[in-house]
Amino acid sequence: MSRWFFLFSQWFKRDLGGRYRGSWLGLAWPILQPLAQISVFTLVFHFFMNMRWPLAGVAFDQDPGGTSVLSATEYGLNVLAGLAVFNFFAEVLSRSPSAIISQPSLVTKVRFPLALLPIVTAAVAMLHILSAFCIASVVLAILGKISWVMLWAIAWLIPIALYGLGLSLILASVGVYVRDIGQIMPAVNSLLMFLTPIFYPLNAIPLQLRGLFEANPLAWASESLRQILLNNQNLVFSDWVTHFFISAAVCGAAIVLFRGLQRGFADVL
Amino acid sequence: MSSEHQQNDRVVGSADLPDVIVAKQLGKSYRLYRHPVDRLLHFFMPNRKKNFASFTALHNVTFELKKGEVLGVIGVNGAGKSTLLQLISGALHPSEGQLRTQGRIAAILELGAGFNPDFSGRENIYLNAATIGLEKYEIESRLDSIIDFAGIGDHIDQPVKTYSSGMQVRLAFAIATSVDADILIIDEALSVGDGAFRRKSFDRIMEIRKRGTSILFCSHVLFHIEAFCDRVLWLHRGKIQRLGALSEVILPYQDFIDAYSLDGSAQPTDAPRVEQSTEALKVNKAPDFDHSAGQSVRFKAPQNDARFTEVTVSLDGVTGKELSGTSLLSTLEVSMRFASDPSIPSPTAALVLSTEGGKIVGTALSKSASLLIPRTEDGIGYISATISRIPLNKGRYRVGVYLFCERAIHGYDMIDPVAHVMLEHHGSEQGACLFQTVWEAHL
Repeated sequence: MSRWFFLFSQWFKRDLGGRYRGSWLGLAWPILQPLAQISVFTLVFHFFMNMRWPLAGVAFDQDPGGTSVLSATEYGLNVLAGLAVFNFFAEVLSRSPSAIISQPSLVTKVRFPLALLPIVTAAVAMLHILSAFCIASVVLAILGKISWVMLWAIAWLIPIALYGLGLSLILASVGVYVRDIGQIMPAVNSLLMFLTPIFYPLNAIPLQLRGLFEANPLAWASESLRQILLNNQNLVFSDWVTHFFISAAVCGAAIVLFRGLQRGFADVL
Repeated sequence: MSSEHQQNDRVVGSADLPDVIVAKQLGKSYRLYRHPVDRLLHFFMPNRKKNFASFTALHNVTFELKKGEVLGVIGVNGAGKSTLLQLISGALHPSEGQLRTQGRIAAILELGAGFNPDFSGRENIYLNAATIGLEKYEIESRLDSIIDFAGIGDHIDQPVKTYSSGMQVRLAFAIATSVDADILIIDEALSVGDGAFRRKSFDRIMEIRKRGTSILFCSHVLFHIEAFCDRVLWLHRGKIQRLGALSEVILPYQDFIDAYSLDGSAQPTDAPRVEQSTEALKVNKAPDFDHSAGQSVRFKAPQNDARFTEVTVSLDGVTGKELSGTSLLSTLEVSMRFASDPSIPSPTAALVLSTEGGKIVGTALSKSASLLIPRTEDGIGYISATISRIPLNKGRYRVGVYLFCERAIHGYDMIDPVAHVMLEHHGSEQGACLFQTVWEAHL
């Protein structure tokens, strides 16, 4: 077990370092990148298009229609929660299909636990959520709105991680056989970005369509994260249990699929 | 380069030693689908019509490897050597038969798996060593010896992308051979790095062999096989052609290769080139050094290495690069001057005559003549080899010279061809060799 963890940590470092090593700001990027994204979204949607966060009763600003800095901060934090979820899944979707293809020698030349590669991909993608937690904690601490309710985020994370892991295992193993998956993912991601309530709240969607949107696990993930972080509300337990079981099933199916497909990797690569 | 020169420093093949590898009717076949997607569909719908062709890379391979034994694996390209090594290393799963291995396996099939060019040499040691199965404490205890062996020195904390390709390969080799394995699998790994490192890596493998590690050794270089191995497995088209002692396998294999080099279509169809030719000796040439005959250059050999500095070829006293003479009459004389690192044992030299196509017709080794070449304090040596009444049939021959280590295994330098010799002969004898025959009539 310790050997497995050591191997994991080496590949985790490799994956992470491969991206930020050599860049001037290095590991500051996981913080700077979402900040830049949020700034753009807030500027365009909050200031230019006058979007407000109409969640009932819990606005930071006493004047929800206002354009004060506080109001913009509230909008930004809501976007941050949605973006954290989206960036995590987007990275899993875009990087997993090549997780195994990019290391052919590990498939054919070395006895290596190949499932480790998509696991590392999912783990590294979790950094988006971690950095969002850090940013949110700092901002909320400054505003004096930090609370113990935020610890629910730990429970919240479990189904999210299982979804990500399951997706990564599926995409990495199927991606060995169907290379097109890597090509489709950018389009899927831009679709997801608009169909997930990132820069708009879920209740902005007409009621007739709401059920459809709620079927998207990313919608539940971002909305429930907002409830915990920004509205000091406890996790809705029934929803959480539902997603926990679905995500566990996805992950279990992914493990079965990966094991089955793994035997053919060497024939294809 | 006959089996007499192999080292007999170990007693092997005793029947009471345990088997570390037992392969029974081992086979591997690949399914070739028209497209990888078909393979995926077949996984989900096993009852779907079969739309793949099977390709058998290995079939019915049965052998055992005893503890401490070294088994050579030979065969032309596409014979299934790599598949066999991959199966035993555990990277591939057999599709038929049984394979049982005992103990830890280290495979030098791929050097530097997972290397990240942006990481320092030290970080890559941890990454690569973990990838090939070392634990953290093992890496830490071997770290210094790996860095030392690779000769990376202060560069160890620099990114690997700043290394020369030689440094990268040296580092990878040092990591790969630091595993304390019960079974070591080597695929052509001896020909890595520059001359000095090749000698070191060679010694390292020898040392591992002496420790009693069982080795599976795959090489195209037959004199390496002869130097290392106790037994040889010859694979041909995925099946065992022969398995047995060196002399039982190497000589028929050499015959096969020679026939194959003359008529490649006669036997295997998909292996493109001759593998045991003079090119296969794979000796590093000094890149910026002019070996032109007759030119005398002061040259100091690099560390742990040796280089020819001047080689002249003369036939019947005439020196040049294109020489002509007569079979069974002319005298060939080759003079070699070399520079070597005085700290290494005095090298041995070889004279190789080959056809224009590269097929060796004859060699002469200074080691076989038990000649210990004297050198000056600077490591300069001067020797000559004379073949009188040259017993070769008419034709044009290449003359090549090689400089080997004291065991005549590891090559330091080569010049091939250093000259060409055109021989005339007025008989209609066939074959490359002319016998100095005495014909007598008895009534």
